[in-house]
Amino acid sequence: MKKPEVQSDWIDRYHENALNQSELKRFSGLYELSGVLRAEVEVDRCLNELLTDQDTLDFYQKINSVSRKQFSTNRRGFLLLMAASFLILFTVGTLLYLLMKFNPAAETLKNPAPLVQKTESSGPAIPESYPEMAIAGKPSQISGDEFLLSYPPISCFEVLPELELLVGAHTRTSTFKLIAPIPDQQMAIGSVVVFIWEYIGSALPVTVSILNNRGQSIYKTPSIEGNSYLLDTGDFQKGLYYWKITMEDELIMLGKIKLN
Amino acid sequence: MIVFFYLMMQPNITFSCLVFYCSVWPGKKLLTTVLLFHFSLIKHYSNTGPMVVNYSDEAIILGLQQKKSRYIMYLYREYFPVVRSIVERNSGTKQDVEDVFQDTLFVLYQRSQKNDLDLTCSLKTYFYAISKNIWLQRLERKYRLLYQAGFEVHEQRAPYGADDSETIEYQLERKRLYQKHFFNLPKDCQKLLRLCFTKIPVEQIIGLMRYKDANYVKTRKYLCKNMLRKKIMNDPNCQPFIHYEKT
Repeated sequence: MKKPEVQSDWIDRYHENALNQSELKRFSGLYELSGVLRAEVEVDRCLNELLTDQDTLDFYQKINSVSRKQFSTNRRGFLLLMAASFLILFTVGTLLYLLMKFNPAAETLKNPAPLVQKTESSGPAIPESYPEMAIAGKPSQISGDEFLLSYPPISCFEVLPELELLVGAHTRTSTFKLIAPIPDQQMAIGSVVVFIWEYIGSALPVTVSILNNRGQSIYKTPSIEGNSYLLDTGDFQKGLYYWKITMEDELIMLGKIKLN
Repeated sequence: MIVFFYLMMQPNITFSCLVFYCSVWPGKKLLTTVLLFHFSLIKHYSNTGPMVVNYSDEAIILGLQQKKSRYIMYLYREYFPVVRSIVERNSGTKQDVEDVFQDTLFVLYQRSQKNDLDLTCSLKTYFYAISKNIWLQRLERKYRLLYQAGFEVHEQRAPYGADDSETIEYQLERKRLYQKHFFNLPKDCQKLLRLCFTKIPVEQIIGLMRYKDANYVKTRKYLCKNMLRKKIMNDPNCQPFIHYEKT
């Protein structure tokens, strides 16, 4: 069924009765011969019916727009939901991270101190609220000479009552004698604190730790084999700090330094 | 916990994963609760829209008569699942569901226009009956399948006859397909064809469409119509409606 050569507007003009006699004659002849032309004329007739019925077209247009809206709303709603969820998770996560990073209290909550390990030490009783003493027998969370600048003293010179009781007290007076510094010392930021001690009897390695005025460890040395240690306070901030010397994980002596 | 399990039962797996992630996050109970509440609100909103309103059958028919979007939207929300249950249970696809729903809407609209809706049952039952009839006719025509023996409507009998000439499924589908192609035409073609078929004088069309003269209007109309005819002739879905043989 080969399509005959007719002008593209002939079908329309045929339905509009706008073909002249010769055109109509030719068109009728082709209509008899060609199935494609017949089909096209039939489609055109149906289209004319549809296009004449504007009301139906309006209704279909309405249905189409509602249908599009109906199905796109669900998809868009879902995408919005996902985007909002990820955005909220990201924002809240970032806020929490920043909060924990700059708030030591939050960090303490995140890593609560374990229970105090009871030892057979003859020294003074260790208060349970003193978190750093609780690390006895466990690896320290702060390694080597790492200095955590994120732990500045919160309210500069406020004393911590639990530690104040222990300032200057020796727990192993028979084997260890501290020569310097004095238990309660004041100095300027940037000065060097000199720790000197001597052993009476066998020498054991000691560790020097620095705590802020909330009792949180901000600095801890590895085991020191010698008799002295120099602490540079150049990186410290103004405030009250406590130092403690431990031997075989047992507290030997505790003191404080005020940095102005 | 109830909210958690309710949300976990939702089909959206990603969403469930998020909920799970929130719930196992240690020490963030308040945050988890807030997030769950937030998610449930958004999810509820995206599913149902901001407000759920129920219309009476009379209001729906009146709204449909006036072609009001919110009533059509309401029908989509409330009656679409009914059509889906009929079509998808009987080897229909998602597209079939959409088509049958639109055809049923159109039948309802036509009836409402002629004030020919004398309901002796609920509108939902009536809608169900029309869509079932359309789908069964379409199935028969397209696939020549035998109806399932168990496919019965155990509802109040609807006053709807399959032999009603207005609701012949064949015409409905043809009309729907043709209008779909019409609305896929360029906007200016749609506008021009509509103007031409509403018998608006050519001079007025020239002014409205900003064309230079009547000849251009005619040529443009023929071109648009030709384009539409070609689209229909080339659409495989339209082939059942194109008859090459002499009638």
